[in-house]
Amino acid sequence: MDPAEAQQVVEGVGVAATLGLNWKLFLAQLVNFGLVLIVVWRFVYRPLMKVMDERSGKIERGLKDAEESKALRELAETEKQKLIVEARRQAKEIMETTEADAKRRQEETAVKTRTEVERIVTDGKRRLRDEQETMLKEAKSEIASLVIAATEKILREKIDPKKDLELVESAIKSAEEQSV
Amino acid sequence: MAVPVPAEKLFLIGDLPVTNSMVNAWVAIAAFVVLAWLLRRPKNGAPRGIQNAVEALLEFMLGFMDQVTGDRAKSRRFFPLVGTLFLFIVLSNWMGLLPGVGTFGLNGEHGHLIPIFRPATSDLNMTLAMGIAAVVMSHAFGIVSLGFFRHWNKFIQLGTFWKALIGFRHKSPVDYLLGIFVAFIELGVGLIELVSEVAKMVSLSLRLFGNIFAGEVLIHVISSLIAFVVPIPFMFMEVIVGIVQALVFSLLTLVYLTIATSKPHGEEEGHEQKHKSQELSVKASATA
Repeated sequence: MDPAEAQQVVEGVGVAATLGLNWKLFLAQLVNFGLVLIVVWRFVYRPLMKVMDERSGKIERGLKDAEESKALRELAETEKQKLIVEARRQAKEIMETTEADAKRRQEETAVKTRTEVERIVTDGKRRLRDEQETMLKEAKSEIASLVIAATEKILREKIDPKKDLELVESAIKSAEEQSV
Repeated sequence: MAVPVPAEKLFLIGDLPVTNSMVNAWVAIAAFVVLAWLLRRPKNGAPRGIQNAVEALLEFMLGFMDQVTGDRAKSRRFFPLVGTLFLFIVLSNWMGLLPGVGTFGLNGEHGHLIPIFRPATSDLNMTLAMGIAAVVMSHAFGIVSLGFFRHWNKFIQLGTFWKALIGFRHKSPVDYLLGIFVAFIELGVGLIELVSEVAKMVSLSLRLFGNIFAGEVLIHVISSLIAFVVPIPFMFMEVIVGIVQALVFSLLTLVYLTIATSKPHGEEEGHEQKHKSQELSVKASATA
Protein backbone atom coordinates (compact mmCIF):
# COMPACT_ATOMS: atom_id res chain seq x y z
CA MET A 1 0.00 0.00 0.00
CA ASP A 2 1.52 3.27 -0.98
CA PRO A 3 1.62 6.06 1.57
CA ALA A 4 -0.95 8.29 -0.18
CA GLU A 5 -3.51 5.47 -0.26
CA ALA A 6 -2.86 4.67 3.37
CA GLN A 7 -3.36 8.32 4.22
CA GLN A 8 -6.72 8.28 2.39
CA VAL A 9 -7.91 5.21 4.28
CA VAL A 10 -6.96 6.80 7.58
CA GLU A 11 -8.74 10.02 6.63
CA GLY A 12 -11.83 8.07 5.59
CA VAL A 13 -11.97 6.34 8.93
CA GLY A 14 -11.23 9.68 10.52
CA VAL A 15 -14.23 11.38 8.90
CA ALA A 16 -16.55 8.56 9.94
CA ALA A 17 -15.16 8.70 13.46
CA THR A 18 -15.46 12.47 13.63
CA LEU A 19 -19.12 12.21 12.69
CA GLY A 20 -19.52 9.48 15.29
CA LEU A 21 -20.23 6.65 12.87
CA ASN A 22 -19.79 3.27 14.47
CA TRP A 23 -21.27 0.08 13.07
CA LYS A 24 -22.37 -1.17 16.48
CA LEU A 25 -24.18 2.07 17.25
CA PHE A 26 -25.59 2.09 13.73
CA LEU A 27 -27.07 -1.38 14.18
CA ALA A 28 -28.39 -0.50 17.63
CA GLN A 29 -30.12 2.61 16.27
CA LEU A 30 -31.45 0.62 13.31
CA VAL A 31 -32.95 -1.83 15.81
CA ASN A 32 -34.37 1.11 17.80
CA PHE A 33 -36.02 2.55 14.72
CA GLY A 34 -37.27 -0.91 13.76
CA LEU A 35 -38.89 -1.24 17.18
CA VAL A 36 -40.63 2.11 16.77
CA LEU A 37 -41.78 1.06 13.31
CA ILE A 38 -43.18 -2.23 14.59
CA VAL A 39 -44.92 -0.60 17.55
CA VAL A 40 -46.52 2.11 15.41
CA TRP A 41 -47.42 -0.25 12.60
CA ARG A 42 -48.70 -3.29 14.45
CA PHE A 43 -50.18 -1.70 17.56
CA VAL A 44 -51.29 1.76 16.48
CA TYR A 45 -51.79 1.94 12.74
CA ARG A 46 -53.27 -1.47 12.00
CA PRO A 47 -55.89 -1.73 14.76
CA LEU A 48 -56.91 1.90 14.32
CA MET A 49 -57.24 1.62 10.56
CA LYS A 50 -59.27 -1.55 10.99
CA VAL A 51 -61.61 0.19 13.40
CA MET A 52 -61.83 3.27 11.17
CA ASP A 53 -62.58 1.21 8.09
CA GLU A 54 -65.22 -0.74 9.95
CA ARG A 55 -66.75 2.46 11.20
CA SER A 56 -66.81 4.18 7.83
CA GLY A 57 -68.31 1.02 6.37
CA LYS A 58 -70.94 1.04 9.06
CA ILE A 59 -71.70 4.72 8.52
CA GLU A 60 -71.99 4.24 4.78
CA ARG A 61 -74.26 1.28 5.31
CA GLY A 62 -76.32 3.27 7.81
CA LEU A 63 -76.70 6.16 5.38
CA LYS A 64 -77.74 3.81 2.63
CA ASP A 65 -80.22 2.11 4.92
CA ALA A 66 -81.65 5.45 6.00
CA GLU A 67 -82.08 6.48 2.38
CA GLU A 68 -83.71 3.20 1.54
CA SER A 69 -86.06 3.36 4.48
CA LYS A 70 -86.96 6.93 3.59
CA ALA A 71 -87.82 5.85 0.06
CA LEU A 72 -89.80 2.96 1.47
CA ARG A 73 -91.65 5.25 3.83
CA GLU A 74 -92.53 7.59 0.99
CA LEU A 75 -93.71 4.65 -1.04
CA ALA A 76 -95.80 3.43 1.86
CA GLU A 77 -97.26 6.91 2.29
CA THR A 78 -98.33 7.15 -1.34
CA GLU A 79 -99.63 3.60 -1.16
CA LYS A 80 -101.61 4.53 1.93
CA GLN A 81 -103.07 7.57 0.21
CA LYS A 82 -103.98 5.48 -2.77
CA LEU A 83 -105.59 2.88 -0.53
CA ILE A 84 -107.59 5.51 1.32
CA VAL A 85 -108.86 7.03 -1.89
CA GLU A 86 -109.70 3.60 -3.22
CA ALA A 87 -111.48 2.66 0.00
CA ARG A 88 -113.52 5.86 -0.09
CA ARG A 89 -114.48 5.23 -3.67
CA GLN A 90 -115.48 1.67 -2.89
CA ALA A 91 -117.47 2.71 0.15
CA LYS A 92 -119.32 5.26 -1.92
CA GLU A 93 -119.98 2.70 -4.59
CA ILE A 94 -121.26 0.22 -2.05
CA MET A 95 -123.52 2.84 -0.52
CA GLU A 96 -124.91 3.77 -3.89
CA THR A 97 -125.57 0.21 -4.94
CA THR A 98 -127.12 -0.54 -1.58
CA GLU A 99 -129.41 2.44 -1.85
CA ALA A 100 -130.42 1.52 -5.35
CA ASP A 101 -130.93 -2.03 -4.28
CA ALA A 102 -133.09 -1.00 -1.34
CA LYS A 103 -135.21 1.22 -3.51
CA ARG A 104 -135.63 -1.48 -6.08
CA ARG A 105 -136.53 -4.02 -3.43
CA GLN A 106 -139.00 -1.66 -1.85
CA GLU A 107 -140.65 -1.12 -5.16
CA GLU A 108 -140.70 -4.80 -5.80
CA THR A 109 -142.26 -5.47 -2.42
CA ALA A 110 -144.85 -2.80 -3.04
CA VAL A 111 -145.73 -4.31 -6.37
CA LYS A 112 -145.86 -7.78 -4.90
CA THR A 113 -148.03 -6.64 -2.01
CA ARG A 114 -150.40 -4.93 -4.36
CA THR A 115 -150.73 -7.99 -6.55
CA GLU A 116 -151.17 -10.16 -3.48
CA VAL A 117 -153.82 -7.90 -2.15
CA GLU A 118 -155.53 -7.89 -5.51
CA ARG A 119 -155.28 -11.65 -5.65
CA ILE A 120 -156.72 -11.98 -2.17
CA VAL A 121 -159.48 -9.59 -3.04
CA THR A 122 -160.42 -11.35 -6.28
CA ASP A 123 -160.10 -14.67 -4.52
CA GLY A 124 -162.44 -13.46 -1.80
CA LYS A 125 -164.85 -12.12 -4.33
CA ARG A 126 -164.80 -15.39 -6.21
CA ARG A 127 -165.29 -17.43 -3.07
CA LEU A 128 -168.11 -15.17 -2.02
CA ARG A 129 -169.78 -15.65 -5.31
CA ASP A 130 -169.30 -19.40 -5.16
CA GLU A 131 -170.74 -19.51 -1.67
CA GLN A 132 -173.59 -17.38 -2.83
CA GLU A 133 -174.24 -19.73 -5.66
CA THR A 134 -174.12 -22.85 -3.48
CA MET A 135 -176.29 -21.13 -0.95
CA LEU A 136 -178.68 -20.22 -3.69
CA LYS A 137 -178.64 -23.77 -5.00
CA GLU A 138 -179.19 -25.19 -1.54
CA ALA A 139 -181.85 -22.64 -0.90
CA LYS A 140 -183.54 -23.56 -4.17
CA SER A 141 -183.51 -27.25 -3.40
CA GLU A 142 -184.62 -26.59 0.11
CA ILE A 143 -187.30 -24.30 -1.14
CA ALA A 144 -188.36 -26.95 -3.61
CA SER A 145 -188.63 -29.62 -0.91
CA LEU A 146 -190.32 -27.13 1.36
CA VAL A 147 -192.72 -26.28 -1.36
CA ILE A 148 -193.30 -29.97 -1.98
CA ALA A 149 -193.80 -30.60 1.72
CA ALA A 150 -196.06 -27.59 1.97
CA THR A 151 -198.04 -28.51 -1.04
CA GLU A 152 -198.31 -32.08 0.28
CA LYS A 153 -199.49 -30.77 3.52
CA ILE A 154 -201.94 -28.56 1.79
CA LEU A 155 -203.19 -31.10 -0.57
CA ARG A 156 -202.83 -33.96 1.98
CA GLU A 157 -202.70 -36.40 -0.59
CA LYS A 158 -200.76 -36.64 -3.74
CA ILE A 159 -202.68 -36.22 -6.84
CA ASP A 160 -200.15 -37.64 -9.01
CA PRO A 161 -196.45 -37.70 -8.38
CA LYS A 162 -195.75 -36.96 -12.01
CA LYS A 163 -197.99 -34.03 -12.12
CA ASP A 164 -196.75 -32.89 -8.84
CA LEU A 165 -193.11 -32.77 -10.04
CA GLU A 166 -194.08 -30.84 -13.13
CA LEU A 167 -195.92 -28.38 -11.05
CA VAL A 168 -193.05 -27.88 -8.73
CA GLU A 169 -190.57 -27.48 -11.53
CA SER A 170 -192.62 -24.86 -13.21
CA ALA A 171 -192.91 -23.06 -9.95
CA ILE A 172 -189.12 -23.12 -9.49
CA LYS A 173 -188.54 -21.98 -13.02
CA SER A 174 -190.76 -19.04 -12.52
CA ALA A 175 -188.99 -18.30 -9.27
CA GLU A 176 -185.60 -18.45 -11.02
CA GLU A 177 -186.75 -16.19 -13.76
CA GLN A 178 -187.87 -13.79 -11.15
CA SER A 179 -184.54 -13.90 -9.28
CA VAL A 180 -182.44 -13.50 -12.46
CA MET B 1 -17.54 24.41 25.54
CA ALA B 2 -19.19 22.96 22.47
CA VAL B 3 -21.36 19.94 21.91
CA PRO B 4 -19.26 17.16 20.39
CA VAL B 5 -20.35 15.90 16.97
CA PRO B 6 -20.60 12.20 17.86
CA ALA B 7 -23.03 11.02 20.47
CA GLU B 8 -21.17 10.30 23.65
CA LYS B 9 -20.82 6.98 25.33
CA LEU B 10 -22.44 6.70 28.73
CA PHE B 11 -21.73 3.07 29.60
CA LEU B 12 -21.33 -0.34 28.05
CA ILE B 13 -23.83 -3.18 27.93
CA GLY B 14 -21.60 -6.14 27.19
CA ASP B 15 -19.85 -5.10 24.02
CA LEU B 16 -22.36 -2.44 23.02
CA PRO B 17 -21.61 1.14 23.92
CA VAL B 18 -24.72 2.97 25.08
CA THR B 19 -24.73 6.58 23.95
CA ASN B 20 -26.85 9.46 25.22
CA SER B 21 -28.77 9.69 21.92
CA MET B 22 -29.57 6.00 22.20
CA VAL B 23 -31.14 6.69 25.58
CA ASN B 24 -33.38 9.21 23.85
CA ALA B 25 -34.32 6.69 21.20
CA TRP B 26 -35.38 4.35 24.00
CA VAL B 27 -37.46 7.09 25.58
CA ALA B 28 -39.13 7.59 22.20
CA ILE B 29 -39.79 3.85 21.92
CA ALA B 30 -41.27 3.94 25.42
CA ALA B 31 -43.49 6.86 24.40
CA PHE B 32 -44.80 4.94 21.40
CA VAL B 33 -45.33 1.83 23.50
CA VAL B 34 -47.36 3.91 25.95
CA LEU B 35 -49.39 5.30 23.05
CA ALA B 36 -49.99 1.80 21.74
CA TRP B 37 -50.96 0.68 25.23
CA LEU B 38 -53.45 3.52 25.55
CA LEU B 39 -54.95 2.45 22.22
CA ARG B 40 -54.86 -1.25 23.04
CA ARG B 41 -58.59 -1.73 22.58
CA PRO B 42 -59.82 0.70 19.95
CA LYS B 43 -63.55 1.13 20.09
CA ASN B 44 -65.71 0.67 17.08
CA GLY B 45 -68.27 3.26 18.05
CA ALA B 46 -67.80 7.00 18.33
CA PRO B 47 -64.11 7.53 19.15
CA ARG B 48 -63.24 9.52 22.25
CA GLY B 49 -60.20 11.04 23.86
CA ILE B 50 -56.82 9.88 22.69
CA GLN B 51 -58.27 7.47 20.14
CA ASN B 52 -60.14 10.34 18.54
CA ALA B 53 -56.99 12.47 18.44
CA VAL B 54 -54.84 9.73 16.93
CA GLU B 55 -57.54 8.83 14.40
CA ALA B 56 -57.77 12.47 13.35
CA LEU B 57 -53.98 12.60 13.01
CA LEU B 58 -53.94 9.40 10.95
CA GLU B 59 -56.69 10.69 8.69
CA PHE B 60 -54.91 14.03 8.25
CA MET B 61 -51.58 12.40 7.47
CA LEU B 62 -53.17 10.01 4.99
CA GLY B 63 -54.89 12.96 3.29
CA PHE B 64 -51.56 14.75 3.13
CA MET B 65 -49.89 11.69 1.67
CA ASP B 66 -52.62 11.39 -0.96
CA GLN B 67 -51.36 14.66 -2.42
CA VAL B 68 -48.04 12.99 -3.20
CA THR B 69 -49.14 9.47 -4.08
CA GLY B 70 -52.46 10.47 -5.64
CA ASP B 71 -53.87 7.17 -4.49
CA ARG B 72 -55.32 6.26 -1.10
CA ALA B 73 -54.36 2.61 -1.44
CA LYS B 74 -50.72 3.60 -1.95
CA SER B 75 -50.84 6.07 0.93
CA ARG B 76 -52.12 3.34 3.18
CA ARG B 77 -49.38 0.97 2.09
CA PHE B 78 -46.67 3.53 2.72
CA PHE B 79 -48.10 4.95 5.91
CA PRO B 80 -46.44 2.57 8.38
CA LEU B 81 -42.98 3.60 7.17
CA VAL B 82 -43.57 7.24 6.32
CA GLY B 83 -45.83 7.98 9.27
CA THR B 84 -43.49 6.29 11.71
CA LEU B 85 -40.54 8.23 10.32
CA PHE B 86 -42.41 11.49 10.72
CA LEU B 87 -43.71 10.81 14.22
CA PHE B 88 -40.41 9.45 15.47
CA ILE B 89 -38.34 12.29 14.02
CA VAL B 90 -40.69 14.98 15.28
CA LEU B 91 -40.75 13.44 18.75
CA SER B 92 -36.97 13.09 18.85
CA ASN B 93 -36.38 16.61 17.58
CA TRP B 94 -38.72 18.17 20.09
CA MET B 95 -37.42 16.08 22.94
CA GLY B 96 -34.10 17.89 22.44
CA LEU B 97 -35.82 21.13 23.45
CA LEU B 98 -37.14 19.83 26.76
CA PRO B 99 -35.43 21.20 29.81
CA GLY B 100 -33.01 18.65 31.18
CA VAL B 101 -31.96 17.33 27.80
CA GLY B 102 -28.31 18.15 27.40
CA THR B 103 -28.06 19.62 30.88
CA PHE B 104 -27.92 16.65 33.21
CA GLY B 105 -25.05 14.32 32.76
CA LEU B 106 -22.25 12.19 34.01
CA ASN B 107 -18.81 13.50 34.76
CA GLY B 108 -16.40 12.66 32.00
CA GLU B 109 -12.68 13.17 31.78
CA HIS B 110 -11.22 16.63 32.49
CA GLY B 111 -14.47 17.79 34.12
CA HIS B 112 -16.30 17.34 30.82
CA LEU B 113 -20.06 16.83 31.23
CA ILE B 114 -21.53 13.91 29.31
CA PRO B 115 -25.27 14.63 28.99
CA ILE B 116 -27.58 11.69 29.62
CA PHE B 117 -30.05 12.85 27.00
CA ARG B 118 -29.29 13.99 23.49
CA PRO B 119 -31.83 14.04 20.65
CA ALA B 120 -31.73 10.72 18.82
CA THR B 121 -31.80 12.57 15.51
CA SER B 122 -28.60 14.47 16.34
CA ASP B 123 -26.70 11.21 16.07
CA LEU B 124 -25.57 10.34 12.55
CA ASN B 125 -25.92 6.63 13.35
CA MET B 126 -29.63 7.10 13.92
CA THR B 127 -30.27 9.29 10.87
CA LEU B 128 -28.19 7.03 8.66
CA ALA B 129 -30.09 4.02 9.94
CA MET B 130 -33.38 5.74 9.06
CA GLY B 131 -32.07 6.96 5.69
CA ILE B 132 -30.83 3.53 4.69
CA ALA B 133 -34.02 1.90 5.97
CA ALA B 134 -36.12 4.35 3.93
CA VAL B 135 -34.20 3.80 0.68
CA VAL B 136 -33.98 0.03 1.15
CA MET B 137 -37.70 -0.10 1.87
CA SER B 138 -38.42 1.91 -1.29
CA HIS B 139 -36.57 -0.78 -3.25
CA ALA B 140 -38.45 -3.51 -1.42
CA PHE B 141 -41.77 -1.86 -2.29
CA GLY B 142 -40.59 -1.39 -5.86
CA ILE B 143 -39.70 -5.07 -6.18
CA VAL B 144 -43.03 -6.14 -4.68
CA SER B 145 -45.16 -3.96 -6.93
CA LEU B 146 -43.14 -4.16 -10.16
CA GLY B 147 -41.34 -7.46 -9.92
CA PHE B 148 -37.66 -8.06 -9.30
CA PHE B 149 -36.34 -7.65 -12.83
CA ARG B 150 -38.55 -4.76 -13.85
CA HIS B 151 -37.51 -2.87 -10.75
CA TRP B 152 -33.79 -3.42 -11.14
CA ASN B 153 -34.02 -2.72 -14.85
CA LYS B 154 -34.50 0.90 -13.86
CA PHE B 155 -30.93 0.94 -12.63
CA ILE B 156 -29.07 -1.75 -14.51
CA GLN B 157 -30.87 -1.45 -17.81
CA LEU B 158 -29.82 -4.75 -19.32
CA GLY B 159 -33.42 -5.49 -20.26
CA THR B 160 -33.64 -2.32 -22.30
CA PHE B 161 -30.27 -3.07 -23.86
CA TRP B 162 -31.32 -6.60 -24.76
CA LYS B 163 -34.52 -5.35 -26.34
CA ALA B 164 -32.58 -2.88 -28.46
CA LEU B 165 -30.17 -5.65 -29.42
CA ILE B 166 -32.83 -8.08 -30.64
CA GLY B 167 -34.94 -5.36 -32.23
CA PHE B 168 -33.17 -5.50 -35.63
CA ARG B 169 -35.99 -7.37 -37.32
CA HIS B 170 -38.44 -4.49 -37.16
CA LYS B 171 -36.08 -1.64 -37.88
CA SER B 172 -33.86 -0.21 -40.51
CA PRO B 173 -30.12 -0.56 -39.81
CA VAL B 174 -29.78 3.13 -38.97
CA ASP B 175 -32.63 2.99 -36.45
CA TYR B 176 -31.21 -0.21 -35.06
CA LEU B 177 -27.81 1.34 -34.48
CA LEU B 178 -29.43 4.43 -33.01
CA GLY B 179 -31.46 2.19 -30.70
CA ILE B 180 -28.34 0.45 -29.48
CA PHE B 181 -26.66 3.82 -28.95
CA VAL B 182 -29.63 5.02 -26.89
CA ALA B 183 -29.57 1.77 -24.95
CA PHE B 184 -25.90 2.38 -24.12
CA ILE B 185 -26.75 5.85 -22.85
CA GLU B 186 -29.62 4.46 -20.81
CA LEU B 187 -27.29 1.89 -19.32
CA GLY B 188 -25.07 4.75 -18.18
CA VAL B 189 -28.05 6.74 -16.88
CA GLY B 190 -29.17 3.70 -14.93
CA LEU B 191 -25.76 3.45 -13.31
CA ILE B 192 -25.93 7.13 -12.37
CA GLU B 193 -29.35 6.43 -10.86
CA LEU B 194 -27.75 3.69 -8.84
CA VAL B 195 -25.23 6.16 -7.48
CA SER B 196 -28.02 8.61 -6.72
CA GLU B 197 -29.67 5.94 -4.58
CA VAL B 198 -26.60 6.05 -2.37
CA ALA B 199 -26.71 9.84 -2.49
CA LYS B 200 -30.33 9.69 -1.28
CA MET B 201 -29.28 7.81 1.83
CA VAL B 202 -26.43 10.18 2.53
CA SER B 203 -28.42 13.36 1.87
CA LEU B 204 -31.41 12.23 3.93
CA SER B 205 -29.30 11.32 6.92
CA LEU B 206 -26.85 14.22 6.76
CA ARG B 207 -29.60 16.82 6.29
CA LEU B 208 -31.52 15.71 9.34
CA PHE B 209 -28.43 15.18 11.45
CA GLY B 210 -26.95 18.53 10.40
CA ASN B 211 -30.09 20.53 11.12
CA ILE B 212 -30.83 19.05 14.51
CA PHE B 213 -27.23 18.97 15.62
CA ALA B 214 -26.76 22.57 14.52
CA GLY B 215 -29.87 23.51 16.48
CA GLU B 216 -28.49 21.82 19.56
CA VAL B 217 -25.20 23.66 19.20
CA LEU B 218 -26.96 26.96 18.55
CA ILE B 219 -29.10 26.72 21.65
CA HIS B 220 -26.15 25.50 23.67
CA VAL B 221 -24.03 28.45 22.60
CA ILE B 222 -26.78 31.06 23.03
CA SER B 223 -27.68 29.68 26.45
CA SER B 224 -24.06 29.78 27.56
CA LEU B 225 -23.84 33.43 26.48
CA ILE B 226 -27.12 34.69 28.00
CA ALA B 227 -29.09 32.04 29.81
CA PHE B 228 -32.41 33.88 30.18
CA VAL B 229 -35.04 35.06 27.65
CA VAL B 230 -32.62 35.37 24.72
CA PRO B 231 -32.69 31.63 23.80
CA ILE B 232 -36.50 31.66 23.59
CA PRO B 233 -36.82 32.81 19.95
CA PHE B 234 -34.19 30.26 19.00
CA MET B 235 -36.19 27.61 20.82
CA PHE B 236 -39.25 28.58 18.79
CA MET B 237 -37.21 28.35 15.65
CA GLU B 238 -36.00 24.92 16.67
CA VAL B 239 -39.61 23.80 17.17
CA ILE B 240 -40.30 24.79 13.58
CA VAL B 241 -37.05 23.27 12.33
CA GLY B 242 -37.94 20.06 14.14
CA ILE B 243 -41.28 19.64 12.38
CA VAL B 244 -39.98 20.90 9.03
CA GLN B 245 -37.09 18.46 9.04
CA ALA B 246 -39.40 15.61 10.00
CA LEU B 247 -41.70 16.65 7.17
CA VAL B 248 -38.81 16.87 4.69
CA PHE B 249 -37.44 13.47 5.66
CA SER B 250 -40.79 11.68 5.53
CA LEU B 251 -42.02 13.42 2.38
CA LEU B 252 -38.81 12.65 0.54
CA THR B 253 -39.16 9.04 1.64
CA LEU B 254 -42.72 9.10 0.38
CA VAL B 255 -41.58 10.47 -2.97
CA TYR B 256 -38.91 7.78 -3.25
CA LEU B 257 -41.50 5.15 -2.43
CA THR B 258 -43.94 6.53 -4.98
CA ILE B 259 -41.31 6.69 -7.71
CA ALA B 260 -40.03 3.21 -6.90
CA THR B 261 -43.50 1.69 -7.16
CA SER B 262 -44.55 3.51 -10.31
CA LYS B 263 -43.94 1.96 -13.69
CA PRO B 264 -40.63 2.83 -15.35
CA HIS B 265 -41.27 5.41 -18.06
CA GLY B 266 -41.02 4.45 -21.69
CA GLU B 267 -42.44 1.05 -20.97
CA GLU B 268 -44.46 -0.05 -23.97
CA GLU B 269 -45.19 -3.61 -23.17
CA GLY B 270 -48.58 -5.23 -23.44
CA HIS B 271 -51.36 -4.85 -20.93
CA GLU B 272 -50.64 -8.23 -19.50
CA GLN B 273 -47.80 -7.01 -17.37
CA LYS B 274 -49.74 -3.94 -16.31
CA HIS B 275 -52.51 -6.13 -14.99
CA LYS B 276 -49.97 -8.25 -13.22
CA SER B 277 -48.45 -5.28 -11.46
CA GLN B 278 -51.89 -3.99 -10.50
CA GLU B 279 -52.71 -7.37 -9.11
CA LEU B 280 -49.49 -7.35 -7.19
CA SER B 281 -50.06 -3.90 -5.77
CA VAL B 282 -53.60 -4.88 -4.75
CA LYS B 283 -52.24 -7.94 -3.05
CA ALA B 284 -49.55 -5.94 -1.30
CA SER B 285 -52.07 -3.37 -0.08
CA ALA B 286 -54.26 -6.18 1.19
CA THR B 287 -51.43 -7.58 3.25
CA ALA B 288 -50.28 -4.19 4.48
